[in-house]
Amino acid sequence: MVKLTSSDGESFDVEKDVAERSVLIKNMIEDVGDDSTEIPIPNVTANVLKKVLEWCEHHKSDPAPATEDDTDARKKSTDIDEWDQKFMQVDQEMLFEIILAANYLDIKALLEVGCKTVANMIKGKTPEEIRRTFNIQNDFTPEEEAQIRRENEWAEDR
Amino acid sequence: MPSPSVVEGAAESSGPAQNITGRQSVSIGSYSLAPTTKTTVVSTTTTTTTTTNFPPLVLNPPRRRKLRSEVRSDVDLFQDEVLDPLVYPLADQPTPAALRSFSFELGGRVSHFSESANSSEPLIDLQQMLVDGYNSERRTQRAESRTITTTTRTTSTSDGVTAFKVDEATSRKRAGSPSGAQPSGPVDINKAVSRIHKRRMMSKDQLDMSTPSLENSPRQQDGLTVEPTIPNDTAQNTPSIGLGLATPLSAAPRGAVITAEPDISTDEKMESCSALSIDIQAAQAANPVDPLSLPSPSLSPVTGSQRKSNAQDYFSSQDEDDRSSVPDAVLNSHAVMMQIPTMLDTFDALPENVQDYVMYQFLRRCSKKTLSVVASTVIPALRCDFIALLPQELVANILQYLDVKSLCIAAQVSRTWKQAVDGSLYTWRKLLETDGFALQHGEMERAIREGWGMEGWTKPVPPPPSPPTDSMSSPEVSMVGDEMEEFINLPPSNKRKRGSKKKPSGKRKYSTPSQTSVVFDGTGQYESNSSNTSLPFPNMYKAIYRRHYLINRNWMSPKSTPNHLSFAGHGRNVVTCLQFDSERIITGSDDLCINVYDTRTGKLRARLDGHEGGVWALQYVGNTLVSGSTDRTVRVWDIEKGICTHIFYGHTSTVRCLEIMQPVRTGTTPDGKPIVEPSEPIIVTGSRDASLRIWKLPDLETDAEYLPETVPDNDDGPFFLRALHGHTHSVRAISGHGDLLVSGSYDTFVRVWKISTGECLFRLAGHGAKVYSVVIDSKRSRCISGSMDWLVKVWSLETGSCLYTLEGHTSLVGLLDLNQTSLVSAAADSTLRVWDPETGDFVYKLEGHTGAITCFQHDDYKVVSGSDGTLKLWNIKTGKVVKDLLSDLNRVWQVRFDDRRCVAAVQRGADTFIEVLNFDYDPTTRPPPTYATGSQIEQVA
Repeated sequence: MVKLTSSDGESFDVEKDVAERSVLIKNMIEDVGDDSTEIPIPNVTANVLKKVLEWCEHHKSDPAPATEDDTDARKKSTDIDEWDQKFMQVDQEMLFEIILAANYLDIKALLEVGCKTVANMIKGKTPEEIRRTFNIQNDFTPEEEAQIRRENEWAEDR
Repeated sequence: MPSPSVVEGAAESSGPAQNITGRQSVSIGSYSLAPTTKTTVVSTTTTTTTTTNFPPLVLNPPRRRKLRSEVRSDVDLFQDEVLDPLVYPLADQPTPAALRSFSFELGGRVSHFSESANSSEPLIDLQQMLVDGYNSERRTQRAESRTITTTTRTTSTSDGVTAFKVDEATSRKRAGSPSGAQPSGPVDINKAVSRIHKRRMMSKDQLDMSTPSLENSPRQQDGLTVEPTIPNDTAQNTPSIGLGLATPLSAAPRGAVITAEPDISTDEKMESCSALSIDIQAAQAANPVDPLSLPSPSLSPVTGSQRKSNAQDYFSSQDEDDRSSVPDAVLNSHAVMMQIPTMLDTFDALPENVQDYVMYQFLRRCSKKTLSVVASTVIPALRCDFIALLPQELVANILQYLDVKSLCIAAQVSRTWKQAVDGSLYTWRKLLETDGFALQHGEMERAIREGWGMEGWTKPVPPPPSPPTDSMSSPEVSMVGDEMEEFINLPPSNKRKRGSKKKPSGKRKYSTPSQTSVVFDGTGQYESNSSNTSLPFPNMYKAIYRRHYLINRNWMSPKSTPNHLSFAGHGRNVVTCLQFDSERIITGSDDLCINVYDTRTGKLRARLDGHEGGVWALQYVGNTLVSGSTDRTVRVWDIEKGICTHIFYGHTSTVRCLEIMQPVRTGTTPDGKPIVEPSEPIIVTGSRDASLRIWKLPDLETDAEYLPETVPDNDDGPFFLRALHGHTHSVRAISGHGDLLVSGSYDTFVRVWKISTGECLFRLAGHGAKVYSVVIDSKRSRCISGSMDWLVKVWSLETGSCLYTLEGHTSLVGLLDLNQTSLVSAAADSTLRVWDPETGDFVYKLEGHTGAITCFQHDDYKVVSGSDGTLKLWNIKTGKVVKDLLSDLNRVWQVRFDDRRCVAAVQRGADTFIEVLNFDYDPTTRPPPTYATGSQIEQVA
């Protein structure tokens, strides 16, 4: 068991192989050489860490990440495993925090799922729908908007 | 101070009782009432060393309260109604586990709250507890399950008002909201207690509030209620039970309500608030003799003045002695309204996770309509502009999952998004790769030189304002990571592998949003740009992508009309081989000649004369051309000079196939050095003499010419390396990679050779007739062969066994072409077939030609094939024909295409023509064709 402490001071006792889904934690454990040490996770709050650990627990038996070539081959696909899809049904704030935490903790597969989730939220929408989805202000002037539209219309379906 | 144990006593664990042990155990203090006042002191007073457990906090299930239209003084003003779960989706939902158990700090002490999953036990327990506690003044009990443990230090009341004492003789004081001292209302609990065993909660009679000031507005809301007789009421909506810190006990939903009334003029300070109740409905009658002071829930406190003036405290308990003076409904609701500020203040004072809990309790009481209002408020508030807020490398990570259409839409969202999308070279370079649009040599330079933009590349565009290098380093251009360095220093061909490196490394520190958000200079810079672009420097990868994308669309659109160049060549002779690039088209013919044409104009630039027989094989690399002929020789040519520089003798019959093999990296030595094979560029030739020969490819710059006048005797010349013997009939096709060479022969065998030694590794036996085509699949370590026996076979280069036999063709399979994603075979049965090179599965049959397929080529998007009278374009992803590129021909001898052009050697009428179809035009700027044919043919004399 490994003890992780979130930035807001909450402690989590986690199985080692679960915690080691995080390359960062794995490296820290190796560096310290002592499993019993408490590992501070200064950039992740308890509620996010809890969520991340939930993911790690579910994926603790996943095979090692595929080779680089395979990774590239998968890049285009935004398919997300069903469990992960459910897992990612969180508010955007939490999703944002999960992505940051996955990046910080170096959990590549979780980062991938997070980024795919956001990409899927963007796909197939109009600019206005994207703005609504993410609560973004349109800060283009009408002239700019028309110009930018012209610049990008080549990619539209016809 | 003891550190809190996390979620101890959590309801979900197996037996609630066992959760409550040690410091979690409930200490029930004896209640004492200061005789002098009737104040109910809501206090959480504990000793500094004691962990105190409070009696259960009973939260009633949500109910709908309706004012009765007819108010009678002796009945409730409200009528309870069970909430329809269809309207109140959360009402019946159990509290989420995440909200059910938590700890928080109150008044400097750590407190715990947890809600039990099983509600009835604690209630029973509570009931018992109350009884016991009442009868014997001091008592300690273990509460089961959910408890709020507070270790709040409290000051004891000066008046000696109540005290909620713990065994350890702690006096506890009601913790007030931090906002200040609040009077707590006394509750006379005597009566209630006395009745607890015998009465049910429903009647108001239970309420015996000794405090005069307590008004009875009917309390039907749940709150801190002590429910002495639980079982009945819990049936429908299970109340949420919490053992609350200083929380009033509530009786059954409508039972006696004990609330600490704020209006009591006591000096008590509320130091900690037990905010756990949402609605206070304490059902306790005051017993004058032995009053039980109950803490007032945080929601209930009302200032004394308010309280008095309103005489109605919505949150106050219903007095059992129902006053006939109970105001009418209007007054009641008014009083309710008056409580709102207090309620909010109280809420504000709660620790965060208590707020979570309380809020959830509120939500349970909300109809869908209200929830919808909440959602429309909450959801946007939680929305998050990922692209603006995430660090750049993570933004790039997201963008890589978007296709071109989505990217171009995303660029129109806002300035920040535009900068993120159009400013990322990584994203567009990656997209070029994933969409199969390989960046060509020199293309970046050309794009910059020609000023490719977002609205065209074919029209003349003024050069960029500053040299590319300067522009790239200008601060306005945002690049991801070390992209800038890559962009400037690395040739495009080296950039392939760099992409994955972009993935953020794990040890990277968090970047705060403010550091990472891209600042789009929306003012001067933006406005001052030329109409051509909105960025200071266009993203050339996007411009290049755009061009590739549109050219591909030109190809694949049934209605597009390529620029068409057609010119005669080779008289009426067969064109046997053809290769071209953007500068030249080189054709070999059985008229003994090799012609070099200008790709753009069709003008004949050179005619390579020398072979004494028909030319049947040729390939060029750079300026060096190698050809094989029926004259049994192999010749090497300097294309620019138009001269033959080398003649290789050795074959004793027609040279039927040849391949120039460049050194490629095939592996890594154990000590990490790359293995490059072959060690130098070589020529491999296959002949009707059944042998293969390997030659060093002459370097036209450094190697001397070798032009023996006559066939040398017993001398293969300085460039000959070795001959491969084994086949017993014509070698018809070859394909090599690294140190491996595969040859297919009319002897029906496929042989696998080790080039560096000449050793034959395998003789692949299986075909029943002549082998006409072979292709090596080095990535999968396989090779594929097509034969006159109608079969295509896939062989392992590791074991020499046949992995798959692809059946389907009904005639000779003369041609094969392979790329990463597909294998295509063409046969004399007038069809082509698409196969999965991994599994050997059949994918499509391309049906439409009427004669044997004479030539074809394919890529990720398309197949171009020639047969008797037509040149057809197929969509390889659908297996359907897109259009006829050329028709009304007699023969199609050869066809080749690159990303922009398709070049075919055809016979029209009796004469041989070279046809060039150019798809490289910008459809957004090209004027529509003005003629009816739809084909822009330019005849070159």
